[in-house]
Amino acid sequence: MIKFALNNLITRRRRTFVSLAGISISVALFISVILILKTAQGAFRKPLENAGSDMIVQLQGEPCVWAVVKLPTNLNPIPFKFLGRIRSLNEVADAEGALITWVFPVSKVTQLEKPSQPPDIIPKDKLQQGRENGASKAPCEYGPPGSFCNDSNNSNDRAPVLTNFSPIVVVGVNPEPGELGPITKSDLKNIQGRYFNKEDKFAVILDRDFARTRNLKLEEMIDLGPRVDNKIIGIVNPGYDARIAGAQVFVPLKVAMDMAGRGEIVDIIFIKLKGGVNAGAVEQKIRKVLENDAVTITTSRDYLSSVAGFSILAQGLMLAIFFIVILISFLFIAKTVFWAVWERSSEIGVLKAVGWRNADIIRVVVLENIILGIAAGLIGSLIGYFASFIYKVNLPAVLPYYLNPYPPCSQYLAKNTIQVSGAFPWGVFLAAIMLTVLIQLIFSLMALLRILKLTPAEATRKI
Amino acid sequence: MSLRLENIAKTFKTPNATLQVLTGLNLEIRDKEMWVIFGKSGAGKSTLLNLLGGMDTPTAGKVSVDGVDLSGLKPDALAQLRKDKIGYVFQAFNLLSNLKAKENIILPVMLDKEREKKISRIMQLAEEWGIKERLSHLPAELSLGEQQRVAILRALINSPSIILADEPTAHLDNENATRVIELFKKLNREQGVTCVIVTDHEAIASQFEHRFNLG
Repeated sequence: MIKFALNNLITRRRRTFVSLAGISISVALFISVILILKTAQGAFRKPLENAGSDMIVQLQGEPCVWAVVKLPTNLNPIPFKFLGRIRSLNEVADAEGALITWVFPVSKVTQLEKPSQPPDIIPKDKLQQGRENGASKAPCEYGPPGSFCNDSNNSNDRAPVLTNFSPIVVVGVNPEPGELGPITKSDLKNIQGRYFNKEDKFAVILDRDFARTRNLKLEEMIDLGPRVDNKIIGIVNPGYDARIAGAQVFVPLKVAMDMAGRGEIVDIIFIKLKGGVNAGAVEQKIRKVLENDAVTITTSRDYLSSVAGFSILAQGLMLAIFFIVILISFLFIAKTVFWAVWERSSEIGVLKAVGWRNADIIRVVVLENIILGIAAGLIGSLIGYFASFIYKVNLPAVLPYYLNPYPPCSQYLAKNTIQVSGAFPWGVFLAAIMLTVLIQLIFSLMALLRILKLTPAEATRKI
Repeated sequence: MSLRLENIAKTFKTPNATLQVLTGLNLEIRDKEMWVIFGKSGAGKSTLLNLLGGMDTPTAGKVSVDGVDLSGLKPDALAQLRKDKIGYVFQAFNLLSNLKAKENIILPVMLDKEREKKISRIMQLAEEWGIKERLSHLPAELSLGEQQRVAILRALINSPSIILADEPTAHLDNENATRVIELFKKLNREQGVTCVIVTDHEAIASQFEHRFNLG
């Protein structure tokens, strides 16, 4: 019977090819749309997953231009007390704060008179170099340090002697590692050295790539802003994936607060929501808690536009296209399969005439359609995967700047490229093949059962 | 095996008209008889043969084979009857275009476990009919005469008790036509096979003892 079924498929090349092509195209459409959607979703969820959070809260504002240690462009401090208020919200499972700062290394700190205007001490060639390195389209307009910030809380009102024009991105983190934040327990599995303990004050943990670039090793010292004796106690390797608040140097949160000199503050809050909670409603509550219109709240849905090139409108459109494609694929497969069997009426009539039982004919047709379904499902899935792969390669999967703010004049680029999952989607493939076979069987049997109701004479007349 | 038609009517409905092909037809064919159904084109000869072979159902009346009313048989039982007892030769041959001549011949027994004996017997006949060399060809590569012989061999593979042949000599030359008619006569004579042949050729019809005129 298998031989007969295979023979039918091989000898009726044209019909097999048309069926195979039609069904494969439908499956390819189906698979590519699913995978593209999955890829885009995966791309914008990943950085949040890396930080163990569902939501990021930041405050927009003008930077303090001239401080040695300052908050990044467009980030304003959030008083630490608000973190507790956010934690106390019913919908929030956990919240963690961190302080992202830009620190200009100096070798000495010299008390100077407050200048009448900021000194222009960044050489133009350095600025140009920064632009050519692709650090940013913008010049390094937020450096150099050496003057005073209007903020009365700023204690960095000294003009330092610069040793390097490139600031270091230093992030203050909870000295007790958790599942939430710029550095989580899972990041510490491969730590070289150790994590912070409560007694650490001038201890730092470096990003592995930063350490390699600067040729820094454990137990060595690194100068951060006014202090030069910061001991390297650990080196972490968070990989090459984009990280929210991905630092070059991690310090205990309290130390970062001291360095920034603006009291107990954070400038980014990671929030883990309880299961089944409506993120939109929580956003409203958080805005109310912070009492500030400049609050930026980011969820995976919000920055899809930045990461995957989809606006909210495009997301809706994509979903509509998704359902239309599924419907068209389904109808196309159904039509192809139905007619592929229906046009065999006379052949089936002959089989009935020479004494084949209905069950024998059903078995052959089912077998043929299983073979055809598996082949078409496989070919279509591969074509669809290839199409989605092309999309994936060209996906502008870059973390929005404000989530990992590196200075425009930074010596090297922030790790902002999201590594879209390269795992082969076996589950989607298997589901597509099974669905194809199922649709094949349903519609081939629908056509076949109609033919089998005919007498052999009626069936053979349908040529 | 005997065949009996009682008060048979057959009507075909088309989108535009209703075509009454057979009305109030009665016919009894006894075991081991040889019959010819004679009539001009469009008289309903093939329709009558289809009813006799259980290939079609009458609009009214009763068709019996060996006293068994075909309308009372389930599809599988009817298929088994067609397979084991009836050898049917279609006017248009109805060979499957994707199967080689040999595969077409053995189609009725293709799913049987014990088929080798039947196949070797029919291959012997194919050799006698001079088409052994053509068995590995597709129907489209055969002449009409060769296709007709393949269709007849297919009808004979199960050694049927009844042969129903719709114009079996239509595309054959005189020599092969005579050979086919002689084969049917031989099967009737030696094995007691009941034969019913449809033709519109008087020369063929005149060779049969029993004749049913239509139209």
